Amino acid sequence: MIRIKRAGWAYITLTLLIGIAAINTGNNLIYLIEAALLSFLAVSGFLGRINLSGLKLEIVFPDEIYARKAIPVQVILFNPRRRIPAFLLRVTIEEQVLLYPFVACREKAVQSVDLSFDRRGMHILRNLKISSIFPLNLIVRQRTPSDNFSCIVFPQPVKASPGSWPADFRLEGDSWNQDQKGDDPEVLSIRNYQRGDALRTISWKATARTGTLKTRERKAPSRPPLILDVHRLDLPGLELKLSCATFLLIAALRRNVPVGLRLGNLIRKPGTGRHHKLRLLRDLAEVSYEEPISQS
Amino acid sequence: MKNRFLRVESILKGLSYGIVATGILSVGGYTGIPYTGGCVLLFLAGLYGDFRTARFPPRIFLNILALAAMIFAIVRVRTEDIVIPVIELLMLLTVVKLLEEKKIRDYLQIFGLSVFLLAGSALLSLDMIFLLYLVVYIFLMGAGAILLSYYAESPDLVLEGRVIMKLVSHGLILPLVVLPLTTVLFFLLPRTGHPLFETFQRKGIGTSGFSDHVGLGEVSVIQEDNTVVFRVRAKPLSEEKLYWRGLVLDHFDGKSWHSFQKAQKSPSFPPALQGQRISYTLYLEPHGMDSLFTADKPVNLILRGAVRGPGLTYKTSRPLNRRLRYEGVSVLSEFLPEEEIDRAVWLQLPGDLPQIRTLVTELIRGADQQEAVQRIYRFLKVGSYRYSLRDLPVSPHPLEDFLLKRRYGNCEYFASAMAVMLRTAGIPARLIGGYRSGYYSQTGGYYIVLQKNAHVWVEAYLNEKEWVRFDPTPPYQESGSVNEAGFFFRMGMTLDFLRYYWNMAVIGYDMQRQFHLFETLQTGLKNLDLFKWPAIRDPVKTGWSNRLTFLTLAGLILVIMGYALLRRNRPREDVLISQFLARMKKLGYLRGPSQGLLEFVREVSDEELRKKAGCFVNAFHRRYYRDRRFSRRDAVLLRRLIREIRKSPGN
Repeated sequence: MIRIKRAGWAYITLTLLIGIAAINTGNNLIYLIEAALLSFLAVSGFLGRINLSGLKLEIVFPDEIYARKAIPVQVILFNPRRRIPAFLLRVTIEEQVLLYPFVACREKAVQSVDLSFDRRGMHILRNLKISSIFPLNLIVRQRTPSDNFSCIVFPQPVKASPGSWPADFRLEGDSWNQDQKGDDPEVLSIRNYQRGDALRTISWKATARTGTLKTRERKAPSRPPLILDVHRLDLPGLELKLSCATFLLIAALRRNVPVGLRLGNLIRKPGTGRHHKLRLLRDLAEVSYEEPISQS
Repeated sequence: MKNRFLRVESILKGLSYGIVATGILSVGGYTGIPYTGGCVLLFLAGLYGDFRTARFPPRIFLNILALAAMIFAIVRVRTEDIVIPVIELLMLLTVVKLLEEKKIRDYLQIFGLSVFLLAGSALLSLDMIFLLYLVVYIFLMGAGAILLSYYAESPDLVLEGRVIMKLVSHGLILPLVVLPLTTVLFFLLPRTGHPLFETFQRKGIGTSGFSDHVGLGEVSVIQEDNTVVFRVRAKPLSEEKLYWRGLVLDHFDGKSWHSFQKAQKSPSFPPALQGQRISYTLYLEPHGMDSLFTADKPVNLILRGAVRGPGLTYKTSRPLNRRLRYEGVSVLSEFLPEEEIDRAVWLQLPGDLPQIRTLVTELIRGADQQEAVQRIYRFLKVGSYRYSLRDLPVSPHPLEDFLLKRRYGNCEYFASAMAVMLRTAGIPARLIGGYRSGYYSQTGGYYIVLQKNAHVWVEAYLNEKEWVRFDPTPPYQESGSVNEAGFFFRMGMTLDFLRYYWNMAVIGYDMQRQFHLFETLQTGLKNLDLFKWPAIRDPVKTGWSNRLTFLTLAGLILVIMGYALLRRNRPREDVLISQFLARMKKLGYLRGPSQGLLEFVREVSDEELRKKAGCFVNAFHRRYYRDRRFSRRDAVLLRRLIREIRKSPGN
């Protein structure tokens, strides 16, 4: 898609005026200027087209995206071309504009933007555009990437009143230290650090020895598992139930309490660990809405 | 530049000043000194403000200044010269813009005004220097406009030196493509038969040459002038035959010759001439007179508005203030038949010239008409007279001084003396003003005729039937081809060669020539035989039609190749995969929409083929997952593996 900018209209007017002057005076030097102005127009159109061609967009979301919480999203522009760098590109994502002054051949340029989603569930990024005014600021050339970018947004964690929680689940205090007193001190293994690991689980000795961050994995405490039956939470409305369940799930897993899930017919066995956590959060995110909504 | 960071705006400012400086240079020589000087001062003030103090005058003050300049310019405008006041105003408005604290629209206005300045310079002069200004503009404007785009996106943008260098190297594509495209478009843009406002064209500054009178001693000033009067595209000719006829002078008042022969009857036309017939194209510079020059003796001249004058001369209806191009046909002959003449006109003398009469009587005693003419001619040409341009006899009786006392002079003294002596002897005679010879440029295939070639010679009416040319001036002129001259002269000729083509191809390009160009191209396309290589190898013999068509085709091929090169932007690995899949498709195997390469190859039933395809896929994966760019060597190897993929002979 092409849109002529105000500067573009001014340029066209200038070209017309010089053209009229050339015809009226029959002066070949003015014809030369006119030819140069037209050539600039043609070549800038051509270069602008090449500048946008073949560019690929990648969007990297964080693992955990919660509704109504700003998350940093990496927007990567890849220029797969062999000879021609890309100049002065704009990527519009959810009405926010990112500027890429230069992307070298076969290289990626990374920009970060904070996004937040109002609702849980699958989100497909629409209104995603790559545009450029390169080279002459006369027209805006715009392209919509052919790839679809989507992410799953988990429900917003809401700490509802403990009265609404399952009867067999109580948080033993809110602070970590207190909570961790009961943790099994036996270390099962030492593994590479993963995002989300608590700072206190880092084995500094192992880290110093290997040069990479290492985390101690402790034996799970012998605690009764928590089965979250979402529909039985004593809260009004599905969304609040899901939000509360999300909060409880995170809180329990943080305390190494195995969590299972019951969502209508869907039953997930209790478990711990990051993979399990993400699976349960995804289940919560993908529950159908009570009332159909229009996708934002 | 490495690891240095530069503000886009700083470079943009620098370029803007460059553009405005070029604009001022292009018109500065023609505008009034106060304007030019004032603009230069304001330019320097802007430069100082932008790069030193970062302080700017208030906008309102600058707006008032611009308004005052506009009012002043409107007051000054006269219908006879609109161009200069308008250009002066444009120049002032442009430099006032430089003084402001600039925003994006200010830069746009500076660029726009500068384009108008360049257009204004085109109205002031048609000199080749314009081309230099245009090329500088194209480069500066191209770079400026690219940076302006960056500035528009983010006014505070700071770019790394590496990125600036990339921008420069790739930004160069813009002007480098614009230049040839401009040339093509220039020839294609439609021309009109008659410009509407030709009067807006500032009159060319004519070089002073001949007028309708020649005073004794006047031509000597012209003869030291190296200004080009005209150029003639013609084959090289024998030097002694080359006289460029301009005007016929009939009346001598003792000091100067005049052309009063308007009432004279013209000879029958075309005259019956015998001699070498030549065709030529003459490019006449503006000289402020109405004379048109032709090779002596002209039989035809093709130019709209040209009128035939007496004595086989041509004139334009009004004084020549712009360049002219015309075709001519002449017969190089010394004789011009004319059956009947008005003897009183051609025997006119300024009263009695007793000393000259005595001299002539002595000289031609006992001779018939033919012999008398020859004696007078030899008396001057090979007698005791010498050629000189210095200290010429200028007195109440210059001719007598020349003939009897000083015995030196330049061509008009010799020619005047001969004509007066002939008339004294009762032989009708006249002076012909024009140019003699010229400098032949072997490279360009044309003659340059300079003011210093200005010459006057004599025609005597003999045997009651014809005018015969006599040139009594002793040999004096340096001449010859370019190669014989010195270094500076050669340089001058080379420069003139460029100027000649500039005038011919650019300045003189009009609707008629555009039609001719299209016709030539059309004919060339019809007749072009690309396989007829000798024709192409020897373009001189093939004529313009084939040459032009061949050049156009070559240009088109270059454009297509350039486009293909730009399109070849796909990564090597993509190209290789496409080639591999195309090969497999040809052999009957089509990859599914989301099928991995290994999966695809595993399904190949032909064992030999599977092995070869597997070999490629493994080699490809080894390189691809190495997360490095595919080198040329990798590509060559993988391409070879693709070529080796073929079905086993059994299948």
